[in-house]
Amino acid sequence: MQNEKRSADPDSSRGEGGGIPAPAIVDLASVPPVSRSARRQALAHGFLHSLFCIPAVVLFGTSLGFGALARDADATLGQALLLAGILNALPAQVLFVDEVSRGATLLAAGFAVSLTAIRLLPMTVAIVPYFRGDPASPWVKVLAVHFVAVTPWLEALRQIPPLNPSLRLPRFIGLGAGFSMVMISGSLVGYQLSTVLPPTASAALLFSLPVYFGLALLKAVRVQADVAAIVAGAVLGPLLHLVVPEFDLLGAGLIGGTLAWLLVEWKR
Amino acid sequence: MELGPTASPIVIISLIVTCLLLHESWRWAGLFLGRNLSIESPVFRWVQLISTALIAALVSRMIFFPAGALADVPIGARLSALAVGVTAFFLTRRNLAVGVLSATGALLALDAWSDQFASAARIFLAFAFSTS
Repeated sequence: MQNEKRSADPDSSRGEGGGIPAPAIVDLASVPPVSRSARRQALAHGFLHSLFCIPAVVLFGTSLGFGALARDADATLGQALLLAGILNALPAQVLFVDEVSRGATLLAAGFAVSLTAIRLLPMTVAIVPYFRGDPASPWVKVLAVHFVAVTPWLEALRQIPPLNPSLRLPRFIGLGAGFSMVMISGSLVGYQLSTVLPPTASAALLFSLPVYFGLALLKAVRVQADVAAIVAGAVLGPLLHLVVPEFDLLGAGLIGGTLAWLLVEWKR
Repeated sequence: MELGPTASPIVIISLIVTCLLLHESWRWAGLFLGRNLSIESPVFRWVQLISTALIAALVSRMIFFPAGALADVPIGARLSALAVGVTAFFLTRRNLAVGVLSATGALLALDAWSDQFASAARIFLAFAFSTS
């Protein structure tokens, strides 16, 4: 909570203080410069927030399930954590381990996982424009998009738009790294606990994840079109799953999102 | 492929490369496509609504067609628990913590209750058949 106060500081005292001033931003004249220490604080704030918020509890709980599944599939602890770190998206991790435990080849498992990652493309496109004008090198952004996953994406979409544009990227990296750490520690604990967890507890943990995703979407609603996109996606998802299971999410996203967008355009 | 203590370093390295090429590349493509997009442009709004609808579809798929232990909980219990969570969320002025915790609590309660209901029904049926 004290942290909350500190991060508000750089906005009011931008440009002064002991920090080295950030390089001038040429293409966005309206962006007020912030000090390097303010950017560091935004990073630390995002990181600490992601460790102690409710989504972190939900994410920790659901990654217990991944850890348990990985042990079931005979992966070593190191391999389970390596997969968690490199994929950094729970659905992909679960699918990969599941495929491998059914005896799939690396390439087959890789392509199945690739299909689940298509949804990361529009999510990344929807977050990257907030990093425009950030003085960080392009390689930092390449590393930053590694943290695009549902939980950090939802949190970032609520938290970064009101921030000073130069504080958005550090805040996102802080959030992403923190959530990634939470997920990896959850996998570790789940791996070790796998034999103890009763099925009812795993069911409750698996249920809390979609509930959190859904409520976070409702919380981020700003205009009518957001509601339209949520309703259209929620209705189309299961329907398309029955018809075209390989492209259900992508199809529901494209059709539902376009319908909602047309509503906005039509109102204009 | 086989995971486990016997997996060779080559297997692990090819696993890393495969994941980077087939999974991470979608994030890189998003970075490339989004780098020149303005947050005020209609295209950006369109992409944002697509990802919102996509996550909503993921949520509803996870509830209607769940995997693992959640599949053993009846659909009625899942939907009722969700309704409890959404109601609690709006009653507390969109409090995420209250919503998630009450939905999960409701699922645990409904699951325990439906188990008891099922065993009561089984006992009743066994009794009914044994007397006939």
